[in-house]
Amino acid sequence: MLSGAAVLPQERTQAVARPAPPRERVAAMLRQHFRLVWRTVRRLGVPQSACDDAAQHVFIIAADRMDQIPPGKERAFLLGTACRVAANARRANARRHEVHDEALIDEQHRSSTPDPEQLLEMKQMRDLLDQLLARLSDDLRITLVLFELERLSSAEIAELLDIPVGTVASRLRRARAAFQAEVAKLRGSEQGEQP
Amino acid sequence: MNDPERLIDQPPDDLAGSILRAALDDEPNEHALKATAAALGVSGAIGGALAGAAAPGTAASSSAASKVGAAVLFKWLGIGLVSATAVAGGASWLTRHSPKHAARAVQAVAPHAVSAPRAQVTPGKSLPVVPPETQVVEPAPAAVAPQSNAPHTPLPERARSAAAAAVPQASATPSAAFASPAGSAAPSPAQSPPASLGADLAMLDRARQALTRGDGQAALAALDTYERKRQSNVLTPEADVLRIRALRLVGQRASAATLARAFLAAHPTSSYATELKPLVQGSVQ
Repeated sequence: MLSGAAVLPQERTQAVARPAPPRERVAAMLRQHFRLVWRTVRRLGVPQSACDDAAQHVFIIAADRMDQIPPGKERAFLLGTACRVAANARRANARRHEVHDEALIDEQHRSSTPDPEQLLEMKQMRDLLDQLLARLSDDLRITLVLFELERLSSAEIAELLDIPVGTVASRLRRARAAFQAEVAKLRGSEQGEQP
Repeated sequence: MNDPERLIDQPPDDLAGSILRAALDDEPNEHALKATAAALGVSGAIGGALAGAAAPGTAASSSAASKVGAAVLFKWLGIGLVSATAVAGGASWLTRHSPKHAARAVQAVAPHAVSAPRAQVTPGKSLPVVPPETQVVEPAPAAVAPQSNAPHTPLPERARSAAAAAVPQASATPSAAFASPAGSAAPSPAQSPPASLGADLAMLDRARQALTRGDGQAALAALDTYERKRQSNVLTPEADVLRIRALRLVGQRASAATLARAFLAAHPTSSYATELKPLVQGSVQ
């Protein structure tokens, strides 16, 4: 056991007693990246009703760790944290929904209607997207979401996930193939239903 | 390395691109941003951020493009197909000519993916409880009722909305429900008893401020208070890390290392892992 009288290293002392993060930097980070974080947790499987909390959790973590985030690296830190928070939330949500009441679903839908038809179509599309994304593994899903929806380059994703660019390229290739295969199945199913 | 052309940029008649473009309309609302700003104590510094921020890439035209995509898709799918046939393995009840029925089909197949009403309760999740004075700000939709069997039936969105609405936008002072992490050291009357994530945050903030002062004992006392009164598990990892720091500060390194080891076992990919791993590796059993 370490001696209680041992002197803490300087950096460890700073880690224990760190000053509050600069208010301006926190505000700037929130302004610039809140939408990005919210969209990311949403597309990584957090139900819409829980996205606000998940996004808030990401920023609370970031604010707490602000002194360890190099200037200019806020987005990378936030996205990395968002991926982890989303994964945790998704697992928790899956456990909660192991038992789901059909009547509850109907009731939820009744309470959410009426919607304008176009908005409803968009919602259906998003639901469909969520279902297709849910069929991908976490690695493929994160890569696809960041590349297609957040328009990060492969190099940016590699830096963010701390993996080689070649690995990103491989995951992206597999993710796109899997996604398109699911879409093809959807199309095939539709064609099979045509009279 | 050249990146491939994005599916989302494919012409409107491309089905994969159309489905992906549907995500571009899925955005947070102002209340979500304001609530987070209030929780972080920067309410006065972020006004209008969502209105002025650009969505990625094609965001400017995303709405129109995605609506076109939606129209194309629904035409392809024989109007109303969305569905479940493919995704759920052949449930052909996905329906014809009725977006309403199609929506119900999608919901029934994948309840996780349902975009629930904004005030809907998430079953089983320990979330902030709405302070009584904020519960009346908006009428409660019927969606709340079916989930009343949950241990807590908080209304996080409405709570945040109400709390955010209570924050004077020109003021740097956060609302009572979402006290500033860097602000009020003394609890306001409205913060006792704690009734929201903001209250949990305020209790942790007292611990954090004590650490900043170098007062490890006060930090531990604040964390004990948090453990007794917390309304949510959302901030538990942060509380654990603060406790580890506090234990280090008061010289209880073995306890800190033990707690750090347990934390890393429970949260191996946590963003705190970098900080905590040296504590575990440096400890002597």
